[in-house]
Amino acid sequence: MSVLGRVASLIREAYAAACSQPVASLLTVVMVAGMCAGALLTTGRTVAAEQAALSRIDAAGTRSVVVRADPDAGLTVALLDRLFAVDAIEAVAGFGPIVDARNAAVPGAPKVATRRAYGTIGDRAMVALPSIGGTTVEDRAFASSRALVALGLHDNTGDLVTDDGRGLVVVGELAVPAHLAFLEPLVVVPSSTVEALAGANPDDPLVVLVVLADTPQQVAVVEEIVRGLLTPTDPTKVSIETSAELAAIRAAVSGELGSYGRSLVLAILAGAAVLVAVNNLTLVTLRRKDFGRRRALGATQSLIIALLLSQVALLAVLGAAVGVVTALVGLAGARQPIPDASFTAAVAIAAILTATLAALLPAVIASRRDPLHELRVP
Amino acid sequence: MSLLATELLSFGYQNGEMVVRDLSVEFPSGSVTALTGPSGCGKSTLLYLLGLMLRPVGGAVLLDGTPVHALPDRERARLRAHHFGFVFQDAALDPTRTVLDNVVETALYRGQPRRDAISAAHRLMERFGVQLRATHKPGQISGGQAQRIALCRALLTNPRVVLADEPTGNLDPATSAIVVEALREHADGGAAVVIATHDPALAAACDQHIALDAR
Repeated sequence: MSVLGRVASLIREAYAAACSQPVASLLTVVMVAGMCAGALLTTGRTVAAEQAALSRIDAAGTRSVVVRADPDAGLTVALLDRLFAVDAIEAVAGFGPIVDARNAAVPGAPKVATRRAYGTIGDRAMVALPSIGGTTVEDRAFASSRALVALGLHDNTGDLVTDDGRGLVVVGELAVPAHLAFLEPLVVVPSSTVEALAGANPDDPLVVLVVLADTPQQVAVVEEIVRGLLTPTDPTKVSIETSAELAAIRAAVSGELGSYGRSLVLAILAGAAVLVAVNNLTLVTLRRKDFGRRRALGATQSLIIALLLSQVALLAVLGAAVGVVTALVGLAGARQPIPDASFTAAVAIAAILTATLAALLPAVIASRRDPLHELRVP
Repeated sequence: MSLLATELLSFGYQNGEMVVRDLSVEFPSGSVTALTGPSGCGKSTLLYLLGLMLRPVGGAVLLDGTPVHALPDRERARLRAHHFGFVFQDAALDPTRTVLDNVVETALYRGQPRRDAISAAHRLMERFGVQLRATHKPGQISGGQAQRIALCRALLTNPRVVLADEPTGNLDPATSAIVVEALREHADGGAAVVIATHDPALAAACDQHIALDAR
């Protein structure tokens, strides 16, 4: 018989053996289900809450460094090209001085601040659009949804007029990422060139520069880099805000909850492993004659070990499925945070492996049953 | 050269008491051998030594003239699965499985496809009149039927050696006759059959009789 055939025979026998011992099998299923459900309802819920908290902290801008400067402080577009070359930086966006604008078709309409923009905003590069019709490169603008509402541009397009008398054409909506939310309502005039995203005119002044680090842990490093590259004519006219404090809170939240969760999961797995081992030791003791007969009839020790481990593994898979479904339904019903798929799968796999490993000692004991001792009739 | 033989075979338990001492005997192909003696004289122990479940402290067990008593456990288990059939005094069926499952149990140990084993099992069960009990559990059948089912399990692979430990001890005369006749027929097919028994009539009907002394 082929190896595959032997494995199939082994699994079939393990399944039949499990079915023939309903009480012990049910206990194993319940223990593994309890292991999974316990881990998911405690640590899983904590991990989900942690993930939600970290997500909120991240949304608050834990990775950003914001530089504010007066228009004559010497902060210019030239700095952006140098920042683009830094590995630890994910995105850079620069904004020129504010010019207020209103809907050209509605005299007396509310005003919204417009800015020349350089670099990238979200997934959109602030590349100046080519001239179409009578408009020049600098005439075209994008507005955030809040700005579109404030300006009364319900079709996401329309003409604006600035306080200095220039005309602007809003050509679309701009999705504003969380780290730029403080600039809302936002209307930007893309002003980078195609060749060098930031380099339309190196001498163009910037009043806001937002640098996004790759990770919260790199914020401090990025801040140092930004400070090193700044050469303000008057340092008192430049300020730097970072999210280093938020990043520290993030690290603390992640570290403390992670440590607590790991300890709890290990405790649950260890407790359940002991129960599974005791259950199987009892099974082996009660059915010692069964294992003695198998040995007498030609079963090798390794076959008996494989048989018992397969039996427990099959039951553990069933138990893990029951435990996961029960826990997720329970969490959803109680409107509690639900852990992500990778954590849930990890708990299920850990439970199956733990239960199977816990059956190893009973399996070894079963494989060493003495046929003469077990089968002899007084 | 005998199919199965012992040479100066000795065995003792850990308390130092010798159960089998310097026993040299041959079990030729086609023969039925009776092991007799009072309880505790070592009949079952000798059967388990011949069945490679115990390791002797001295001497050898030979299969086809080759010493097999000292082989690694895995090899001895393989020999048991492929060449030996066992009939135990109380049938030793698994009470949680069906009669058919019990009969084909050894297929797993030999690596034989279950489908093939089931075909052979049905033929044997029909021969011994227990075909209708195939789906029953051992607890639902009589002692005589259980022993016939154990016989089916032992003969399933047409083993070259059959070792039977008081196979008729708890049976009525009619069932005993069926069991003995089946073992006789199997020996006639070329196997060596060894029976531990207290029954003088059964011993007298065997080709060879080895009387073990009380210790």
